[in-house]
Amino acid sequence: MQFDLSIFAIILIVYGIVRSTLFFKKTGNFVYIVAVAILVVLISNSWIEMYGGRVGEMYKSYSAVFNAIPLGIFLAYLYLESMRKKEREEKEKTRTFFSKYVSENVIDKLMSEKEIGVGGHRQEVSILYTDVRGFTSLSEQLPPEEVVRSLNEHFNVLTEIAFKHGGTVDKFIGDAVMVIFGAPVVHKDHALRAVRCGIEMQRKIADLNEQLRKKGRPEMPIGVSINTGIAIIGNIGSDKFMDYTAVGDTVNTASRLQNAAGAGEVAISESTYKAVKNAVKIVKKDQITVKGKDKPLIVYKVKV
Amino acid sequence: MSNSIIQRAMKALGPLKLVLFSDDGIERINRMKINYYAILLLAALIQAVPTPAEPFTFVMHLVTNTIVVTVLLTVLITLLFGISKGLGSSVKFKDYLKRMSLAAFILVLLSIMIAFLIINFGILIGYPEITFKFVQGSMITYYMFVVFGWCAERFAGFDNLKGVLVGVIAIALYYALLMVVSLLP
Repeated sequence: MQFDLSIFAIILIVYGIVRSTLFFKKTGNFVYIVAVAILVVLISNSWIEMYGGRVGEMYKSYSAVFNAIPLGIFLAYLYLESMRKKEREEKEKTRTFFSKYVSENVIDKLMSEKEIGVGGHRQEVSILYTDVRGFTSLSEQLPPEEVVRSLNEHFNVLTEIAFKHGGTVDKFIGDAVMVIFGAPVVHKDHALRAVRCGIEMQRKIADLNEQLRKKGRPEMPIGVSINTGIAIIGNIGSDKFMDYTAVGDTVNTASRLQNAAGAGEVAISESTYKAVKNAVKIVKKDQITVKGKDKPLIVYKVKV
Repeated sequence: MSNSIIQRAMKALGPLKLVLFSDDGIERINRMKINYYAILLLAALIQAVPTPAEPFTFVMHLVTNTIVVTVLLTVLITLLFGISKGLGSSVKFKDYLKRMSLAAFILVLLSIMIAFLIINFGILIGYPEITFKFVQGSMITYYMFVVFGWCAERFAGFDNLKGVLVGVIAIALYYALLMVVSLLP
């Protein structure tokens, strides 16, 4: 094998075509397509000159047509790519719009479904509830605007932490937040994620309350409760209006556990404890009686 | 069960996607745990097969050729690593050597297999010269170099104009390596 400059040049041109196409795919910049078109014309000329034989002779007679073919292909590619880009932009717009109302996880789930209808399935999840302690008396003392402002500040902090740990913010119920771990995105360690999320929520809310105290504004301490178990997950509601949510005893119990979680505490159920006992420290074990349950529930308080 | 076999086969063939310039193929190779000495040796061995001769001379040539090609390939990858580092890549040498060796092995193996099929197809349809020319003039000579250049930049972690520079240098060095290999017995 001897060094052949024309072969080496062709290799570099092919490389240029590949690279420009990949750059165009990534950036959508029109300049790369122009580069590809020029390189394709260049290579089709050299290639047929070198290996064409009779085809090469025919090519010389109809060079305009032959040059138009690769150009045509790349113009078609350009058109298709611009259509795809438009579609991507529209999807992004929809995503941005709905991200103000539902979790990113839920948007991904909904966008991946061909048809959205009511229905659900059984799945093991961990449900986290937070609730502002003493909210009723606080809302009586403060003007409504101040209550809404403080609540929004709290919800901002809590939502960000929930997303960070892979949770799906299901709903805000007055001063409470419900977060699902393990659905729609399945995480095997959903219980541990929920507990770590709860701990971080307490730490960040403590920081926020510290800042509020310094500013002379009222503090809003929260209690966090977590339960793990089987729930019905899916689109629940009517054909016209539905919610992606979790329902069932696991969810109700998580909500009831709120009674056991004091300000600055993370209370977890026995099922959650079994899933995370090697990874977290427990500071207290307690028993509580809740509405709708015959037997008392064992509650563990996690070290924050 | 058949689905699971197909899924496993698809997973095993995942790294081959790099010949289609797929980032997924690059990712899969990045995650693979392999013995890079063995892969480097295999990639060299395939390129080191000497021209058929007496059995004793053949083995002698195969051994010496393999050593020469292994050294050349290692030097080539080391040079590319040095250039990439100079341009700001954060890849580790061990990882770069492993990934580039595997890429070289996949490319050489695939090229030879496809070339073998095309040439035999040419013989079958009665046009061996045309198909041989096609193999010589297009696929092996161009495609393999281009994929090798692209792999050199992507394994260095580049996806920009610096990467293109690494790719072009990789192509030039690989071209030079193949010229030396062609001088071997």
